[in-house]
Amino acid sequence: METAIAVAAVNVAVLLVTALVLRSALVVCRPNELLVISGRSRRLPDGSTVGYRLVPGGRVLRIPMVEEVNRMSLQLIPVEAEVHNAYARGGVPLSVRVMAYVKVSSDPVLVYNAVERSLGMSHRQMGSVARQTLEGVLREFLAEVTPEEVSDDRLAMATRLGVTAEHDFAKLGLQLDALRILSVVDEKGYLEGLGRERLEAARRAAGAGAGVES
Amino acid sequence: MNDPLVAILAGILGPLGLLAIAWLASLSRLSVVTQPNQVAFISGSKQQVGGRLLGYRFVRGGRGTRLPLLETMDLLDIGTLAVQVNLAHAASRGFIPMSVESVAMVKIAGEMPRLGNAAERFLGRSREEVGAIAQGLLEGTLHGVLASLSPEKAVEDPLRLSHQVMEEAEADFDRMGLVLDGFKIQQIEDEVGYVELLGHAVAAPQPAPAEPTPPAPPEEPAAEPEPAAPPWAGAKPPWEK
Repeated sequence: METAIAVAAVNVAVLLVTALVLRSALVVCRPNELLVISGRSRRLPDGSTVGYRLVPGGRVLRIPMVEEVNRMSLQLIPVEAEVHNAYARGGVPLSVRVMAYVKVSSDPVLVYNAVERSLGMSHRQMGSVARQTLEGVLREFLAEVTPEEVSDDRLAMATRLGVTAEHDFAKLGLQLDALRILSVVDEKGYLEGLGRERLEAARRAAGAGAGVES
Repeated sequence: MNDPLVAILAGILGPLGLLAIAWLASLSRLSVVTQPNQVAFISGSKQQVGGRLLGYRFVRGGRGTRLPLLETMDLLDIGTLAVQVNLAHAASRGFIPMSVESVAMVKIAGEMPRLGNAAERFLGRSREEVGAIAQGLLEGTLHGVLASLSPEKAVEDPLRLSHQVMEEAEADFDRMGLVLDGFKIQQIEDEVGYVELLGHAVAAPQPAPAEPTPPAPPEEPAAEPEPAAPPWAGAKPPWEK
């Protein structure tokens, strides 16, 4: 009887230790994140050595006390960017508002850029970095197009803007999922003036038509 | 009963048996039954799904059980969201301001690989947040399509407008793992009565413009005098500067 109790005690102890070790050493990666496990150096495909490894999914065993685990969210971040008084071609100052949807890239190469620049940043902080980048790109981009182009052909312009911004975002390890131009307003009233022109022309034509009918 | 072998066996099997009982008892806590509009993601074990190596498996409209310690489970609601997309003072071609009311039916895709895209982006986000993202994207798309259409076309053929919006949004929705089930224009009107003026069946003669019509827009807009407030300026909502 004593033997049975002794064996049982040992068994329970082994099970408990196993569970505790698993609990502290086993890390599970959720579908919306990336694990960054720092502490042991690892050679990258390009030959450089970094002190961490990335786990894009599944589970991994870390060595407690030697390795540290950080999580990097891959969730989508909506970013609203706005420039005021950006000079379009022809010297017309425009205010343009765009909406972008960015996330940490799932590209295995680009993601290193994100890990080195923004690990531990909140969505808000990442969004504000993305917003500032986008505003810079947008200002440069506007200098090359006319106000009519950017207003009439917003979808194509957004695509072009996205291609231009892609390079800067890649450096941050971010990927641009979608980009839209929401509003184009010029402070001088040039575009609204064009609309008013049209309205007046239509009003005159209609007035003339009504005059003929009555 | 003093046979040491039996004692050792009992010592090993006893705790293991208790463990098995504990596992059975916690099965209800470890397993989930999902409805067709829910997906459970059980992360931990790797598997190949359609050529992609995933670190999770997913259960939609069924039963799934996770292993204690080795796996975690997250739920994602993929049911349809009705998203209202309203625009005011949105420029159509030629800078005639229009207001549009429309509604979209959006859901998260239910099958791979789009479900995987959605899991990355939306798992852990509330339905309201997903709805707001879809709404912003559709607002932008509607702005874009509307700006490329002449006001009379937009007003006369809202069906074409909505088709174009769906087409333009599709690629981005796919990338995000969203599905646009429908997009309907409920109401569209130009805010300054431009289209009405275009039709010649205007009942009353129009009052003469208060000021003489300005000359053709000069090539150098900087030289243009400050224009008077447009007729729709008073209708701007308070949040617009």
